Amino acid sequence: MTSEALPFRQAIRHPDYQVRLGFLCLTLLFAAVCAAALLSISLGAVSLPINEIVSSILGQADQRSDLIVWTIRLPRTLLAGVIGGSLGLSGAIMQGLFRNPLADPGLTGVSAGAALAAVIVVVLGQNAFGMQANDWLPLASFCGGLAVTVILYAVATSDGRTSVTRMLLAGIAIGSVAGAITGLLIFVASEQQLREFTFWTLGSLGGATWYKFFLVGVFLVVTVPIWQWLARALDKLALGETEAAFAGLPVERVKMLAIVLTALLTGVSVSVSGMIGFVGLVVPHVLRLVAGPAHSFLLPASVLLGATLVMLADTFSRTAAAPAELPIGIVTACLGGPLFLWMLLRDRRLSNGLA
Amino acid sequence: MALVEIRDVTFSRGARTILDAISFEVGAGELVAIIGPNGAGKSTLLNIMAGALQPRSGSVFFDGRPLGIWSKSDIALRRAVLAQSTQMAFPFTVDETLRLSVPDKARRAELVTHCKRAMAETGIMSFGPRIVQELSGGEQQRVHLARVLVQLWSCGSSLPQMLFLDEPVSGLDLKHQLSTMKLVRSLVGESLGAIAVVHDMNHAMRFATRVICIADGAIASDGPPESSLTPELLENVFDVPMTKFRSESGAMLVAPH
Repeated sequence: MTSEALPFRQAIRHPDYQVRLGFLCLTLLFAAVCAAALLSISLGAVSLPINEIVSSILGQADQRSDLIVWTIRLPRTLLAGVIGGSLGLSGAIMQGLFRNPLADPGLTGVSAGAALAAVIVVVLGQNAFGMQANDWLPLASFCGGLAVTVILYAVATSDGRTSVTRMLLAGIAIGSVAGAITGLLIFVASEQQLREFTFWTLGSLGGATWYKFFLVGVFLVVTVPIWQWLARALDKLALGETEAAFAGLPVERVKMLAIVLTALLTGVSVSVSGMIGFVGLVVPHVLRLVAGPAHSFLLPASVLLGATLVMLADTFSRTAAAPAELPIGIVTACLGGPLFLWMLLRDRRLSNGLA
Repeated sequence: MALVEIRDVTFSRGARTILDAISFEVGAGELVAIIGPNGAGKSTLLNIMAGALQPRSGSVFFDGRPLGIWSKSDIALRRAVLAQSTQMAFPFTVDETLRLSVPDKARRAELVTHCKRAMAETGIMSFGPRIVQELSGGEQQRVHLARVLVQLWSCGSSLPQMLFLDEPVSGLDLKHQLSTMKLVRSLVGESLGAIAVVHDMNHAMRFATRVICIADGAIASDGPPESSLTPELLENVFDVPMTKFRSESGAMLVAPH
């Protein structure tokens, strides 16, 4: 069989081409990130032409453009980017950990757990240890996400095999419990907190600041050095936990790391932007269809495509019904919900074909 | 010298004792077939020797050191395991899958050669770009056999290695059953030993250098196939009347009456 005869999906994964084409894909995705960022900065209540943006970034624009770019648009666009990157990455890692393409921090209740922990802090823990409630949010969300991931793993996985049914059902159960407790908290919440409720459940990048961008960005950047190692580990894990251990993988350590990373990336994102669903599901899935499941490509590509997707979704959410803003979670759900259904249908056809 | 040694290994699940004080050792150059009825504990025994299961009591040694002392990555350079069935989680291609078991510490220089050789030996030469999940069960089994061979070969170690195979031919057609057993037999030598759980007595008879028969959690017989696989033993163990005869080609065969 000659390589020329292969369809793109397989050719891109041929050992002779893989590295070069993977690099090409990442370059294209990076270009997409830049384009989405420019578009996101350019569109809004006041449209800015691209050349204005560029000259403002280079420090050669007038005060008005500077104000719009540096104070309003840029922090929000960049925050959208790092949030999308974190959600895409945590989806990819979680799917590798659970060995299942349907694992997603949103569907499995990890985001709900993180959001619940945040709401608890907002409503009950007004001030503690001399810190404002808001300062505790990222830590609380991380703990909430971590708790849910650990419960989920304990419920859904036995003998190194994950049951999809149990994983999704456990996600529904955890999501319901988290929703119920959140609902309970609304009773004791103040008027202002009540309004914030939409923020937690449907997400928003409305409160973007440079601080929030750096907070989320730091956690994303911290993961970069372990990508290479984690990618090889998750590849091996695809063989099954026992087989991966036979191949020399320290499985328990990898699982711990993956669980903590997923909870960290999801938790910090949720604490800043609320629950933005389906990004972690859609992004790795599309990438796997195009370029295969190798994690050394999938992890960085998920960051880039996640960033692109959330930047575009946020641009849409604040321009579609301007001056009002749609919750961004609605936009991502409109994209992700149908895709999720399609994945289930496709999966059924596949398993019928094999059974 | 023994590569794998187990001493008084006992294993139980709930109240049921599966293995009761089993001891033996296996060295390089041996192809040991483990036979026995369903539920006799063959796979359990293999998993204990490979380190995937902890025995209730007794000890397992690899190359003279207790299995617990070996790090996962060190022992992966010295022994590979083909499980009864391996379900891949994502649509990896055959090319990608063959490289999945290659340990991080392994030398990568000759990897392409090893992959080509493993593919040729297991008859999957043209499978390279195909998705493993989309292959038939038997084809997948051959891909995974090739994968564990690549794991052993790519370690580039001059120290003897061990191959554990749990029913390596159970999903294969006749041609590939024979070619797989032949392949394993041909690989066994001074640098490789193998232990395989097999169901077909005649595979054990023809290819193994030694047959260990497990029944009721104990070793019912242990020895070279021609002398130890007697009709009396097989009748006792499998509860089926058996005869043993020499075929026209001169090979010893066993078959039910």
